[in-house]
Amino acid sequence: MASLEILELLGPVTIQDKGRVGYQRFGVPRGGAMDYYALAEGQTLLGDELETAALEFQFGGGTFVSHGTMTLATSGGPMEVLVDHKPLTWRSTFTIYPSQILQMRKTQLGIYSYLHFPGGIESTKIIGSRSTHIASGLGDVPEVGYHLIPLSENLSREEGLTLPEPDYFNIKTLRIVYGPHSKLFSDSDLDNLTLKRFRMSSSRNRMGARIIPIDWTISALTGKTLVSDPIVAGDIQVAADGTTAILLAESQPTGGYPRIASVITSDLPMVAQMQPDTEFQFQLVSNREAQIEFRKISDRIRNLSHSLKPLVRDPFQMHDLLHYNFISGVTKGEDNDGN
Amino acid sequence: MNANTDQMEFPRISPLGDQAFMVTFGDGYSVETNAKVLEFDRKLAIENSPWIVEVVPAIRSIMVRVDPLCMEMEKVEQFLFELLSKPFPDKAIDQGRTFEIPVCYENEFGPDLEYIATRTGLNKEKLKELHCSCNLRVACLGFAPGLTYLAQLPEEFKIPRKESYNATALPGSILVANRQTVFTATEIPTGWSIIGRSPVIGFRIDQSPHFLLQPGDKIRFYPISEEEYSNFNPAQIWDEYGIT
Repeated sequence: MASLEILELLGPVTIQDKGRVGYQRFGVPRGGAMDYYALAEGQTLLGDELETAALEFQFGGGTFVSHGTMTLATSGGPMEVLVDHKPLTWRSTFTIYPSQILQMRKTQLGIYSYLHFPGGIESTKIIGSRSTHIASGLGDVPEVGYHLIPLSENLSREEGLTLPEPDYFNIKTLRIVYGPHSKLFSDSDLDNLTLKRFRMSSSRNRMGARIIPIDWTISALTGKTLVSDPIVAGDIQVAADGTTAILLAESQPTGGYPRIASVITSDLPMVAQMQPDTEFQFQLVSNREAQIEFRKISDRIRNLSHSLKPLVRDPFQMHDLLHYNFISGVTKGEDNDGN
Repeated sequence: MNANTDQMEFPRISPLGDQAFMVTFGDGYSVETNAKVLEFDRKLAIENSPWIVEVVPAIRSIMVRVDPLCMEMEKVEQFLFELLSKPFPDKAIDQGRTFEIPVCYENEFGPDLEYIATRTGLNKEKLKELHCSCNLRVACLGFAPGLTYLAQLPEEFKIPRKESYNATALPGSILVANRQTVFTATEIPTGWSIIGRSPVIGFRIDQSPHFLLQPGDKIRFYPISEEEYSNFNPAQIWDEYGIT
């Protein structure tokens, strides 16, 4: 059976799909890919359904050896990708052959990156999802020696396909809507929330990202103990000591700290990819605007396949057409049946 | 604090993020407030609207997450508003099943029972008896898979959480704090007092349905010995209640 074996990991790595929808009432965090747009890009590059699972990197990277021939795709925060030391284009498809070594190393843009397999990854599916949730012991934990097995019978896909780089890696404005707890905060806190700036901290994981108000502090609602209320990804939580965090894909299902506002769903990929030390501002929008923005990003995801392009450039601009490498994938230059 | 905070009335419908609404039935924790949550949960289940992605009941509030591509949020709000004033089709609160759950309170199974005894002035036997005499209701599940919040213990158990959050509660642990009792289904860190452990684990990873208990279910605990704990077959309770 064809697989990609993990030889080395340089940072947190999990398997993620769209997550566990419908089980929050049983205490199960939804989880799923931190950057759902990037997940869809990889799925589109391989021509797969938007339900498949991919390998998610948080910074770092990894080294892999291929046991078989398969077409893979990359997406999300750009990484350096090398197959047998030859560099490949990010956010594109390539074919890897038996014994070839794949190296992925994080670069300076974004945080979460994805490696996609034909048909997704064949791993343990629990409660409707293959997403790894380490704290609850759900899903496989990809470690050194783990074999990533493509789910599709047909491991060959069109190679050298690419998608344009999305425009959200350098965004400095996150849009928010007010929520059930907003009115518990003072008018000046609510004013400052959108007038003043924040800094993204390096303290973050799949549950949430700590943010630091620049030159001001949000008054924690001490003395006001809230009973636990349901949480949605994007909620901006202010803890009892004033610590402020944007709760993300793997946030706990309910929580007792008040939430001053929520980042809108269309901007969650931007939060996921925002680098530590980035200074940003919140912009208040209406719920109607938030829904229009979600419709827009949903349409963009649905129409991603229209943006697929071969890596080959215009032949008239190629100086040495006969020697031009028409595909991005590096091959061994020999026939191989994948075993 | 805003002047209008205290004038808010319940139930209250508020957007939560851009794809959900939260309906809040009260300010604090009470069995009556939670009963309203459970009733609304049941109403929503009966309506079974296809554009509702999920419903998440909590202790005093409930979240209704929708697919905004299928239904306009303004219409969802109107729907929730109308559903709130609609009469209940049945006695929703009495729909829950009743479970008898064995608990071992002995030695390392209930490491904090002694602490509770000191705080309450009741001896351990009396505490066990009191804990098992309560008719408890599953107020909600949350925090971790299958973790069940049960309402509500008598005044004697009005004991705050411990200062430290460093204890580990094994699956099946019975925790108490502030008149609430929690029944865990996975290993979690906790600042609550661990007074016992059940061989029944309300979450099974490999078989559907994955969860034994639902919000609204009724629970009575009964004490078992360490020997009975080791001889208990955890699978039997799922069969016993016809959950297969």
